[in-house]
Amino acid sequence: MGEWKVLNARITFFTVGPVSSSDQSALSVYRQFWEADPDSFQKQPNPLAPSMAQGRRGGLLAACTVNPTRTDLNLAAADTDVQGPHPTLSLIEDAGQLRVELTRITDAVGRGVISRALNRVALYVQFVATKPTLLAVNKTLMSIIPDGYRPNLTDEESFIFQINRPQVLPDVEQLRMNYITKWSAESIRVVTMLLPRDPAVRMGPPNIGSPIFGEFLAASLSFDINNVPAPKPLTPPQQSSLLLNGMAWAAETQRTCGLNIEGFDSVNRLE
Amino acid sequence: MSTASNRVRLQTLVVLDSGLELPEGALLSPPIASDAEPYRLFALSAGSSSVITTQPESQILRTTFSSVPIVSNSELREEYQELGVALGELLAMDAGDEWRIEKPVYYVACHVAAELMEYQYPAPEVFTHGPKSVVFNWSNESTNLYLTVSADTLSALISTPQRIQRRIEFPTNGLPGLVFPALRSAQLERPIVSITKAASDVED
Repeated sequence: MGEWKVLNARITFFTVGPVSSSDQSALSVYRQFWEADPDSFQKQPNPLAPSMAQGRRGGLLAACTVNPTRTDLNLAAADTDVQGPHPTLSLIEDAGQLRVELTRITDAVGRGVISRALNRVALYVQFVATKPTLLAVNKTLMSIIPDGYRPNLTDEESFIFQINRPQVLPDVEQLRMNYITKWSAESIRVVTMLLPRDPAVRMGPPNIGSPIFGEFLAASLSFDINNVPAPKPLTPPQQSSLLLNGMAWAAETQRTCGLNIEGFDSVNRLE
Repeated sequence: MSTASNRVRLQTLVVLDSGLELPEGALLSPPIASDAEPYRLFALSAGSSSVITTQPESQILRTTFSSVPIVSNSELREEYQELGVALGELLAMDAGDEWRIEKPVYYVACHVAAELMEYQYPAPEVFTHGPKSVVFNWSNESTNLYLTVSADTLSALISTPQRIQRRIEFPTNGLPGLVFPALRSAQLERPIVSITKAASDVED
């Protein structure tokens, strides 16, 4: 099952109640989680719009978006420095590094780096296997859907199958957690814009400056693990515990489905 | 046999405007005669492609499905962006200005507006009652819903020109989410469909 890679992952914090004048921007959130300055930052253009910060973490692109009601930390593959003009789909090659980054986030959350009051946290991870044809996508999907749910797919398009297996966590205030698994056939469009390295060179081959589109077919397995909004704000250790629980569940379930993503098969706290 | 097709070779060309020069040795030829003034055409020597090495910037647009995206969501978001600008302007007004609002009111108003957007409320009209509150207003034929937002209280008033139909107050600290669909339902006098999603994704 080495064909499966991680497309992206996201941790989300949902805010309860109004924010204050000391509210964190995406810049400060990024610095607190990754202890470095981002490569780019866009401040909040108005109070109902997000602020954004992003930077590279090894082979990963880390992006932070702070909205009035939620804060998202997104991790995806950093674009490879390709010379050719053909768009490629960047996938996270080192799932172990992704696991380390996700664990770093959950550890930092446990130390209380998010100053907002939170009543809900979420972890999202999407795995994909790119395929040349729709038939191959559907065949791949059927190979990872458990026996009891497996449909008979051939050349159908836009397949989506999603289930939720909610559970109550007795250790965390009897909170109800959603454990959502989604199997789907994805058509992913990538646009590449070729730009001269030297800004002084404004001319070149005809495709410079023009968007080039590439479309990729992929079998996809995604997990969305989150708690239903808690009646009172979650403490930092509770936030961390819920996210670690979600990571452990995602690691276990991808293994059960037969993906066996190397580096994402166990979850431990960082030493 | 030599034919026109197998004698053709691909040749890298570069087009420069009049103010730019390429590094020495990069060019295979003197400028090629053309009628592309003010630009000049050159053939590049082998191995000189680094002169115009390109840097790809890729972006995943979004997964594309056959279903039609909901356009109204993005329109709604745009209307709320305008509301956000308006709230920012109310805060930034001079101290003596009658439209100016205080900072605590501003923060609560922004939070309430963000919640309203989450619940797909149409963007309201906004006005002030002095520095300690802002009022969000929706009209539905002869019925008006006024949501007065102060630093610690949210007050909803549903009225017609003839009478006040209902008045409800909530503390702003820890507002239950269902307050907003319930208020809308009370104004329109019909049930409001509010879909609770287990998933954590963002609407487009």
